[in-house]
Amino acid sequence: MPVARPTVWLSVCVLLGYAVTSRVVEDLYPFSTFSMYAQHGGTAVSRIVARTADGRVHPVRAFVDWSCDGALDLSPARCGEPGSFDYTGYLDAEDAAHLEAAHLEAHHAPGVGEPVEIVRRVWKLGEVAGPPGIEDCPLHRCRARLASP
Amino acid sequence: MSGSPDRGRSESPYQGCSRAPLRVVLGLVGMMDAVVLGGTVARAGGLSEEAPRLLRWLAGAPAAALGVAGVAVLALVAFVRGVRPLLAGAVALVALGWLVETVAALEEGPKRNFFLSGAMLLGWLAGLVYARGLGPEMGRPVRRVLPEEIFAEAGAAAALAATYVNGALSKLLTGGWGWTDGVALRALVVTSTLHAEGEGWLAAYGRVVVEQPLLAQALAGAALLIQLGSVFLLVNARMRVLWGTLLLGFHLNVLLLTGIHYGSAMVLLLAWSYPWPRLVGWLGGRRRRGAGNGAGDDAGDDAGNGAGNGAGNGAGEEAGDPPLVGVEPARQRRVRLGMVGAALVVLGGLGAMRMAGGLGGQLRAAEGGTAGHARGEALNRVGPLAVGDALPGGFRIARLERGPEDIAIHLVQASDGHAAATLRLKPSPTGVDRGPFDAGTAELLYDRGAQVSLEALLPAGRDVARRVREAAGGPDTAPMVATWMATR
Repeated sequence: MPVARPTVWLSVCVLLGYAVTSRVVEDLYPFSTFSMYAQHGGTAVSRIVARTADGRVHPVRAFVDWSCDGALDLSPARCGEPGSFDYTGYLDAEDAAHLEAAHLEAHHAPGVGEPVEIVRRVWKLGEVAGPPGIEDCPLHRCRARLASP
Repeated sequence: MSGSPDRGRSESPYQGCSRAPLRVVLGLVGMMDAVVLGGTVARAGGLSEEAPRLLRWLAGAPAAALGVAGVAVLALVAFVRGVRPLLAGAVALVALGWLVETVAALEEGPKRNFFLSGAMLLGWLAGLVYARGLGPEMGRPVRRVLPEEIFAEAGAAAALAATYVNGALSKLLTGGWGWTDGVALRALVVTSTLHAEGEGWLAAYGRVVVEQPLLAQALAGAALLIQLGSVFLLVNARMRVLWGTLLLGFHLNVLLLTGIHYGSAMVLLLAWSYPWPRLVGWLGGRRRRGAGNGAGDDAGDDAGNGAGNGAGNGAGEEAGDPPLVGVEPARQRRVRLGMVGAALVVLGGLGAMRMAGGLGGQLRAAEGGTAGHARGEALNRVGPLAVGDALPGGFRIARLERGPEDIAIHLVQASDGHAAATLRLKPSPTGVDRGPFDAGTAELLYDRGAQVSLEALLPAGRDVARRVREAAGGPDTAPMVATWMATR
């Protein structure tokens, strides 16, 4: 009969102990369930993007010196019924924070840069092969300058 | 698992070699984490009153944050040098934990890329504790191979495997096998890359994955199986090489597709998965032989690693680990029972705290502060919400509380009155609801200690958000919510 190494007992205990403790505490350093990409989500997903005059989209953080029409309102409710598409909360918040900061700074020098639209782009992922369907929900007309690389 | 000595074989690619390089890599990764975390906390602008006092204090004191990071680094230097590694590792773990939890409070969510080094450090320390519990008779050092570090390495490897198994289990528990249909992966890629018409092979690869559901399904299935199969890291040296390579491939693919990188994990996987001392020794031997000095045969003694024997010759008795089990079974049983008992006590305590209403709330209560969520002003009605209102999904509003930071909406199961979750409503600092319910420019979040899944809570949360939007006459809900919070 083969002799198991004592490290096997230790390995099993650490593996199970970590897994069980993580389920109890969820995320308490150094334990975690690592559930960050566990959600299945829907087939319609969205992101706030900057759309330039040629129709191309870029991350809003690719632009600086934003100057937009009116107070910024990026809420998903402007683009459809709740639940009709998904959005990533922290990404939206990061984009909103960038726009807010840049928008406030740009008040002293409005009208700099090229015309850029802030839109919420919704991608609809189909079950068959092919590009996803796209719907753009315009949110604000702005001017902004492409950030230096 | 009796008291019979094993024959020097192990499940490690480092068999017969010192584990010091692993200790060094683990310590260095921890130091990098400490520096980044310390810098993040030091630059932060402070935390709100509802955060636990220890975290709030650290976030408001840049010098202290840098000091805690410094303590972590110094402790890890001692750990790397092998000076009282158990104490040094424990101090580093506490300091890193303080920083990680502060960053989690600042960014309203844990930064999991810092957890892996901590988990492996904990596994390493568990191995040391177990080895020392067995006593000095457990094994003698041979060629700089410390028996206690054989256990430490095994413990760290098990923690490494556990993190990936946990990732897979979370996917299965949340989405079931349906997660492997590839939709989640395609959604992640499309929102990370904007599905832009960029040029180059990388953009093309991303587009192919998004546009080919079968390919996405295959990649998602492979990712889940690779994570779930991480237990194979613990089987033997060859399986560790194989599975470590698969996990590195998984990380590389995620990096290429989304730009999301887990650098610490990749470094630790690289270190733990391959027989580096043998590879380095083998390369050194080849170089010396190439130089014509015939020194390659001596490489086996170089650095005490038996490195020149090469990985392919079976690494038999002369290159094996020292025999480990030389203690009587009764002593083993006592050590094991002691460790299991200690783990159960800790688990039981944590579980009881969770059952009593969430770990965060318990930590706040334990501080004796008055800023806990459960100490707001009780109300019968707030705007369109009233105590007793039925909500979709079988919930009922049991309590409404107006606190200094938010309005707490306590939900219970309508069927049995058991606490289910607490929703928290407040004007969003960013003008966007970061929660899943879409409350406009206000924020409607749910407690991490919720007793029900988000899926079960969604209908109720969305109904609350809808009522708030309707009361505000549109998505600009923040001013109305601020009014509700201010009304006394």
